[in-house]
Amino acid sequence: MKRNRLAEIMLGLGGILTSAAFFMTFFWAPATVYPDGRVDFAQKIFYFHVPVAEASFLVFFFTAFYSIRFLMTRKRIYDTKARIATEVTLFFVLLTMATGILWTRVEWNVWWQWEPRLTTYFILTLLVIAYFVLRNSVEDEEKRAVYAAAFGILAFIDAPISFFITRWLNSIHPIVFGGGESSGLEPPMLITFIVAQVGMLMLGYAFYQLRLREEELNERLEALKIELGD
Amino acid sequence: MTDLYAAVIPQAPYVIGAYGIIWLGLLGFVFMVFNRIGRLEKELRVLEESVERRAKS
Repeated sequence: MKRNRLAEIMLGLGGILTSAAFFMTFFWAPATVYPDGRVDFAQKIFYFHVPVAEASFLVFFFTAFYSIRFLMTRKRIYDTKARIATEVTLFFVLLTMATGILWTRVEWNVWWQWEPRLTTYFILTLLVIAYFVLRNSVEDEEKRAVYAAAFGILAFIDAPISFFITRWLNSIHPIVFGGGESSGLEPPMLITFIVAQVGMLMLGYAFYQLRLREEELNERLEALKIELGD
Repeated sequence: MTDLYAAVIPQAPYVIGAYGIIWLGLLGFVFMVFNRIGRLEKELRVLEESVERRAKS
């Protein structure tokens, strides 16, 4: 079975870029200083918290995309691709939640706040978990794939809502880009963020492809076992 | 400088925690998947050899 060279290249590049972004975060990007002179060290969490959140939205888009493809074609491979995309989404969602909670504790002095962004992202987390609960609760393979595809498409609707909600409703969650005069980043901060973001997306792609390869190997193994068992 | 340390020191555990979770998560994911792929490839080679042997005999 052929190795996926592109996935390995993306994994390597993603690793280099995220490592570079890590050093840029602490040794190049300036710390935010408020007008009253307070230094906001916890803002450093932003450089990786936002990229993992964006990666979760983007990978979840592929859950919906492959779910639609599955419903259109009924080909099993699209169900597998949608499931793997959701697995990678869950991984990024958990990282986003964990880093977000730590940032919230420092900045807002609470572990959790029921404000629009956090609430809609929490719903997204529950939907992603529910996707797997649903898959595990249906025994028939065909029905499981159809229900999961329908659920995956519906669940994805929450992703753009969660992304744009801070622009639609009053929210205490920061809007870094396009949020008025106080938003935006200084060039070193912006470059650091872009490096982290590109690196994280490359890792997301690599993770998805690696899991897909694992799945293909597993299927080939099962087929060979059946062949030998005959 | 005192102000800087006063801000950094109380916030540092949370920043370290956040980056620790991210790096452990990313490395853990890569390690687990590569580990499983390696094991599957090994099993696959053994089975493919068995299939070849059976085809020849």
